[in-house]
Amino acid sequence: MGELFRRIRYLINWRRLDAELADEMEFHREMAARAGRNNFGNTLRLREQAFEAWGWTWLDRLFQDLRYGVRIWARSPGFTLMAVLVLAIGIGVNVSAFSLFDMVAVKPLPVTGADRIVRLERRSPTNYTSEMAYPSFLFYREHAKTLSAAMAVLGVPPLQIDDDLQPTSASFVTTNYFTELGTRAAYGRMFDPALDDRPDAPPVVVLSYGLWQRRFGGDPTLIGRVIHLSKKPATVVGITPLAFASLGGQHPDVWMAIAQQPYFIERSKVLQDWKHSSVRMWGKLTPGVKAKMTEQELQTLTDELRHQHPDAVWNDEFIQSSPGGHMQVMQPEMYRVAAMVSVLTLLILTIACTNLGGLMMARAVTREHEIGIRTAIGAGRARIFRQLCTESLLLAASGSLVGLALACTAMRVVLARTDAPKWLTASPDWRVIIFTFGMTAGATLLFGLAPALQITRQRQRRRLPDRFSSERRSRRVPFYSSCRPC
Amino acid sequence: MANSSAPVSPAGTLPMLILRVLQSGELHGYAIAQRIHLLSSEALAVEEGLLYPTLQKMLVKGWVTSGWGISETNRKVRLYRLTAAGRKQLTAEMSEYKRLTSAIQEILRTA
Repeated sequence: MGELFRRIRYLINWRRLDAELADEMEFHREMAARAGRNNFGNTLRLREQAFEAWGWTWLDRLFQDLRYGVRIWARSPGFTLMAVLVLAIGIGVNVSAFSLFDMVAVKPLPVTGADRIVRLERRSPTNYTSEMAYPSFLFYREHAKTLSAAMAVLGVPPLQIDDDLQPTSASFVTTNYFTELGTRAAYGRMFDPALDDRPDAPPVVVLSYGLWQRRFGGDPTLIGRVIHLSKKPATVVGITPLAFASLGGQHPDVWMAIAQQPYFIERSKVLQDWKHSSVRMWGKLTPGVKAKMTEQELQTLTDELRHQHPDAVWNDEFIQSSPGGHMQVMQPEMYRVAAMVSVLTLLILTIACTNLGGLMMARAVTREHEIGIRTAIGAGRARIFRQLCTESLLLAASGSLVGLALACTAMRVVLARTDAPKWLTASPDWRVIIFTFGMTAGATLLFGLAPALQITRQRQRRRLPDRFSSERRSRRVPFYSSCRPC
Repeated sequence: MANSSAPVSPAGTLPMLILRVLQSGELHGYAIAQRIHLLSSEALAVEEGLLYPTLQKMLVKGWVTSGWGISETNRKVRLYRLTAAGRKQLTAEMSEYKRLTSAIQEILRTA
């Protein structure tokens, strides 16, 4: 450990220490000359050896290779530009696809306990629905010990605000929806289970930030005012924040409490209907509980529910849980689609890289002379190979930088066009950056490895031109082979 | 010891000799070479080409540290000093050296 610190200190100060060493050896030479011995060795070589002792030669060589690589690429700007562009497109396409996937399925929603949120749906071998009856939801909520909370979302056709001509999108949710997600109101308050959960509580409504700006001009005095939703008066209690993240990617402009649904939708018996699947159910796992355990517990509850209300439950029904803490709840089929898209984008990159590799092999011919000189003055094969790989890496790194920029721009356009929730950003998160590094390395291997191997091998067969003897040799070979059968 | 030569060869024992010479006090590079030359009754002459790289390696390993001082000729010069780790290394190398040389002597005597 101490050795590493010493070596790092040396790296930081190496210029000064090297000068001191030169000075020291100068002193030594003076003293030796005074004693009559004048055979001091090559100072420069000794300083090099001293530098090598500190183990940073690889870094020095890397910088050397990088500088050389930049000069090589600057010599043929047309080729370099085209290669960088080709790589940028190939890598950019992959990064865009991954970015999209990351945004939709991997990045957790910015809510509390996003990793514990699950989507619960009814399944059976013959049936499938994404919703369940509200009384069933209440039953599960009451009896499920593995769920620390259960939320329900009830869809409703768009409602008319006051005297608007166009209706506005709306949704009913359980009063614990916002508290479980940890949403902080931009103005006013969100639903409070203590206040808003009774059917006889005063009717309240929460509005989205966008609606508040568009329809009400961002008026802060809106809180506490009464508006009419399809002719039913209700008090506005709060506004959701601008960067609000809701479950399942739904973004209604008006939020109301499920318990108050019979008030808003007259004569609706949805909340008592055991047979009609109407609400989408979400749950939060108790800390430490796995989704499998929840599914098992829900299985027993489903069987019990079948005894109590046989018409509410199918035969062989079970409740399936899927991770719900991302923007899109991923079903297995969606993963398959994602896999196909990634194969496609990788194919594009592979084609780009193999084309580039072919072009680099062709360029290898023009570099024979230069490589020949370097070998003649003592460069080993490994050294030349490393040099060529560094050049390829330089190209790939430039390509992926441009590709990353392209991908981010594309993402920004997509987010703006599709009216995406405001908490999504186009700037790459750490997953996308690591993915880009991986792509760069992969691309370097694809297009750089074969030409590098080719070039370092070819110098062995063709030494500095010696055409006369090679002609003689080639004339001798057919003679020998024609003699073979005798 | 990360030295390419065998531990008993003159080049392989140089670190040990440097450590031993520094045991009695701190010296600059030339003085170390001089001391080794004189103490061996002029049998061993340390090449500068071996001395300085070896000193650097010993600095890396932390067996010696360097400080500044004034030479006999009133010149600012770098002095090398033994560290605790260096002392430990010296004892280890000396016992290893004794072990190997007595083994070799046994073979030469009896074989």
